[in-house]
Amino acid sequence: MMKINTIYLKRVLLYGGCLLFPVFVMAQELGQSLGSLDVRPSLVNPRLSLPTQLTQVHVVSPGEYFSPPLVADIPDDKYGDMVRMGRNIFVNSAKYAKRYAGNGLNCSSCHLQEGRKPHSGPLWAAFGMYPMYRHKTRTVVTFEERIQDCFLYSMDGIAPTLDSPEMKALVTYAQWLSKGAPVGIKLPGRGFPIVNRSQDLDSKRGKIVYETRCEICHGEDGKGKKHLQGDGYMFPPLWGRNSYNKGAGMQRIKTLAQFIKGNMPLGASFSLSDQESLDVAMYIWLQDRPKNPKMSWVMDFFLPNMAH
Amino acid sequence: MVTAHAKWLYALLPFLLWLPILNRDVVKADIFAGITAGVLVLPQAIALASLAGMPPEYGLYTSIFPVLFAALFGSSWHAMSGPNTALSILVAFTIAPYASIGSPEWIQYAITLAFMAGIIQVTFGILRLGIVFNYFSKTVTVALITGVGVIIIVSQLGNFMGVLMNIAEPIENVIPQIFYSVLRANGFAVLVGTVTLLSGLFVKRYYPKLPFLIVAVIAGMVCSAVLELFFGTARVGLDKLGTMSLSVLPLSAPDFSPENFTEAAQGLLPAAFVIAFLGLIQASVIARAMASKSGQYVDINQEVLGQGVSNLAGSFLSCFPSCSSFNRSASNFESGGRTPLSALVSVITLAILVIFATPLIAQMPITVMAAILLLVGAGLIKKNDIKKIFKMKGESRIIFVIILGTTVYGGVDYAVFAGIGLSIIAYLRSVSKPEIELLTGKAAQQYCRRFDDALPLPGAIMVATSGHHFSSVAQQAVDREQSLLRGEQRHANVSIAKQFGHITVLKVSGSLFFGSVFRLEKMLTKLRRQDGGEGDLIISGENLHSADSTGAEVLMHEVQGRMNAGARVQLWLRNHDHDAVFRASGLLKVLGTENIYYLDPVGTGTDKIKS
Amino acid sequence: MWLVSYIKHFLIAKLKNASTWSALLAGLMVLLPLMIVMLFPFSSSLDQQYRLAGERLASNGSRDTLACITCHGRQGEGDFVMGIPRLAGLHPDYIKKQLEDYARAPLRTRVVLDPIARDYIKTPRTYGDLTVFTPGTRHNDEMNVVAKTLSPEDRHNLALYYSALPFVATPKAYDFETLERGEDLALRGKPEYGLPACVSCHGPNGQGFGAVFPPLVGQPMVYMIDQINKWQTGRRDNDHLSLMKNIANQLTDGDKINVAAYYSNQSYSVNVE
Repeated sequence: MMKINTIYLKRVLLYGGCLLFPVFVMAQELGQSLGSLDVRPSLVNPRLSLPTQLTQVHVVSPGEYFSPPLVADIPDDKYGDMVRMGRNIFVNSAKYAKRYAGNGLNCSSCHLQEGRKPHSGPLWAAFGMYPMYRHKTRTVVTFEERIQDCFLYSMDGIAPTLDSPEMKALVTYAQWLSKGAPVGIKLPGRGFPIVNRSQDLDSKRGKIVYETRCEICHGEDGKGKKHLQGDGYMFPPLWGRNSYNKGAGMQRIKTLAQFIKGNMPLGASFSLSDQESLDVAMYIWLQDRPKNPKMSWVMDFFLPNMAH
Repeated sequence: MVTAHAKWLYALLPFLLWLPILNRDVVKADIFAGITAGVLVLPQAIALASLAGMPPEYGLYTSIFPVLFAALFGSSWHAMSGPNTALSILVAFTIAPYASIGSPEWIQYAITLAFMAGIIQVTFGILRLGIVFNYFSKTVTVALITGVGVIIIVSQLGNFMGVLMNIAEPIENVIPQIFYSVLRANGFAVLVGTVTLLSGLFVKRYYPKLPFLIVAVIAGMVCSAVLELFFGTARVGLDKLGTMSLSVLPLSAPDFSPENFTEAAQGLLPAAFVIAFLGLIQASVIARAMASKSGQYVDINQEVLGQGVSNLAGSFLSCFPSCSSFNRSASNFESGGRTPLSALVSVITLAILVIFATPLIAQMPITVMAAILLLVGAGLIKKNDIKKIFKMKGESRIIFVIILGTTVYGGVDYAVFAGIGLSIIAYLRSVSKPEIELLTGKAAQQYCRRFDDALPLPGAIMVATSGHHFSSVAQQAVDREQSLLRGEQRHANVSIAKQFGHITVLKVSGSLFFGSVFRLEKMLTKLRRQDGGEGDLIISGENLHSADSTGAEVLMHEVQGRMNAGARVQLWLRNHDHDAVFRASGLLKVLGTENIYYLDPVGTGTDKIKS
Repeated sequence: MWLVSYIKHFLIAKLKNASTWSALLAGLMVLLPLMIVMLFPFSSSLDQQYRLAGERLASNGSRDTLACITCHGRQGEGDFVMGIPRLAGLHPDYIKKQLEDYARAPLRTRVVLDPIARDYIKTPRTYGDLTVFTPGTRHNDEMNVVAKTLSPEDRHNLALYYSALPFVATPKAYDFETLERGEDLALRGKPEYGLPACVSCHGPNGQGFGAVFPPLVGQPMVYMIDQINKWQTGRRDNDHLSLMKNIANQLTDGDKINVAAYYSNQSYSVNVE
């Protein structure tokens, strides 16, 4: 008798709960919806309100960085055509390199401003450094092989063959962009800026940073935002099916944090602190994304977030 | 029944011929054959596109649009058009010096080539020169195709091993590369390729009814997928084909603007001719082969026109040069296709298939494609044909070796030119053997006696006909009557053989022209050695087919020599056909009209004389 | 069973009463139009009503305010000489937010330290290591007055009305060099200054993106330059994540002219079939 009663009670609770839950949620929403001019308490801890510590403020001194040639100066010959084709692929990979691109990202999703921006892996700083030794592959890789890796990992696609026109165009574009840059010298603005770790990383803090600083463009759940007309992404997805896979460089927390610190939010570079960058990188790192092409599905299944 | 108007209509729209015969059974058979053909063409289309250096989508366009136009405007009901191995190789080797493989310029050049070839082919069709392509020697074709097979195999070994090689180089540079590449070969690629190759061979051998190429592709792709599942894509490291960017109506246009075309014109212009010729040669061979199987009457000129139209239209729809394909035509016929409707169905099938298969094709490893091409290339080397050629006596063996060598070393275009040259030379060799017989003694007497009845008296005929070669029928009848009358008189008088004591007859048959004169001279020298150049001579041109001034001059000198020496010389000709040549050379003048006899002056009595 | 009979008796007793009938009728009269409104393409017809209300307000004004059309034009096309922005075809949420920001009392000091950090998540201000969260404000002598008189419903109606109006931009001609420099800035920004390209947020053709990033194309050049100036002086301070503030601080006077010229040179149409 008692047993039956408890089961019955459970069911009542369960079904009642199911029925009532939406009402409950709605009531919560209603209770929280404020007037348009009202402001509600933050999810964020109150930030430091007094300047008590010395922080490193990034100073932009334009003379510091190499300035690549203007697009208007691309010559009007076959070489120029190749450069233009490379630039098209670079800014709209899904359309112009459809053959090899696998996801919603373009080259310029990471190498911002058509590969020109310092601290976002600018091409003019990279071109002269290749061939170089890479720890990731433990070999000396050429510029072309590096591009292949970009396609394979960051763009979750197919590595273009060395003789493909896409590859030729991209290398030509990079060469044109680094016209006048010294070869074999680590130029300022090369790669990503340095991020130092002082505390343990916390993905909860990262989530808050994501919601306050990133979500406005990259959308909820890191889905990115598509163009209003036409295909492709206006703001690239950060995780999910259409983002980079687990073998990409951005899947290293440190690399991602460096990129975020140096470039994000777009237009307000270096506005996030090292810790914020690392936290949000951790948060993004934890999300689901396509599997690492370097690993078998067994490894991917049992060790889903093992980087490299 | 067919009025002039309707004839024009049928020439313009040849599909009106087969539309009426469509009934339920035919349509059913055609749909079945078409679906089969559409599925079969998929791996070939992709592989041949890559052979031509084009992105794979262009192979699909080429196996859709030209097929459509060739089916509608061609004459053969069974021939299936589309990309072709020899043409693909030719396109690749022609464009290679002027553009980088797969680049937009490359594609532009290929489209321009298709346009030029189409124009040439249409011109041939309009001028009704289709018959020319029947005279391309079979040996040359076999050698060309074998050479193409060798080129394909050599050029695809690098892809097979997953190594990048410079294949647009002379073959003697490529072969060492293969050996160096073995050390750098990607083991996974070789494994996948071998699986593809072996499964293809296995199916071809033991299950000949299954489409072995498709089975091979599936086997290779399953193998690569399993490897990637267990080792990871990056570690396996196979080069993939990549996503195709297809469009429903891929409009394009040939580009003859100076800045793009001029620098490549030197290579493209001759190549366009070669492509047009090679396409037409294969098309006419296929059309005839299909016609002999099906019993359909094939108008070769219409077929040529159809090929031209398909290439022309193709150049506006992103297609590279195409022509009829033998395997696909044969398989179409075998699977029951009866009208070009099957080609149309195959086009639709392929289009639908492509839409669904694109994500799969994107994952197709280059190695698998190389293995497919190896199978195709091996299929081009037909052992039986080669054996037959080597069993035959004569020059065909030499021609085969020369053309094979030219194809492999110099490229297909040179081989086609060499093939045309060698075909002509072989023909000339065969015709430059005029049967020159020297009859003496009894044989000569016997020969002459045959004409005793018919031989008219000299002189009179010349008077009657020398002025006008094209005398009216009535005049000819009169002449004939007179000559018969005189013949009787002559017969009563004395026979020719008896006029001469020691008679020598020089019988010249076939063509007497600059190419064959040396044989005549040889024979005359021999004769002069025998009789010192002073004996009597009858030159009989009974079966003389043609003569030119060189030949006439040689005869004239001989005749003059003998007549100066006081010998009697007669010239027997069948009719007045060669009078102009002989008069121009002065032979008639030297000989004098009384020594010239016409065996059959009006051209009707051949049988009578022979009997 | 008893429940059914009870309801029956209750209904009979009630329906005998005339006042119940009248109450029922009144209820029906209220409910029916509501139900029609709710049953039929529900949001669109509602929006239509809001839009009509917005149109009335925009063209007639109210007791306290001028009509919008006196400055912004009959079709919300703005004034290209006076530099009055066009409103036609803007995102409704953008219009609403701007009106809210205009209505908010302008802060008297540049930096306000709030005891509680506010989740006006879009506007944290970072000054060195000092981050201040402020609600957005926007100075404009006329609009501050006008916006204060508007109720939230008015703002909503106006936003819906203006967002649905059609607009066709007439490209203005400028000299080649200005346009070329403007294009370079619009498409590539100034990477060496850390200045992103306009297109990376405002859409590939500057046609705006969502509620946050307003269109640049089809706005008067004078207006655009004026707004950047206001960001630089702090008179406009209502951007998200202080993105535009950072960007405006990097723009020289020449840049402003070039890029504004580039965008007013583009052709553009919205809500036009």
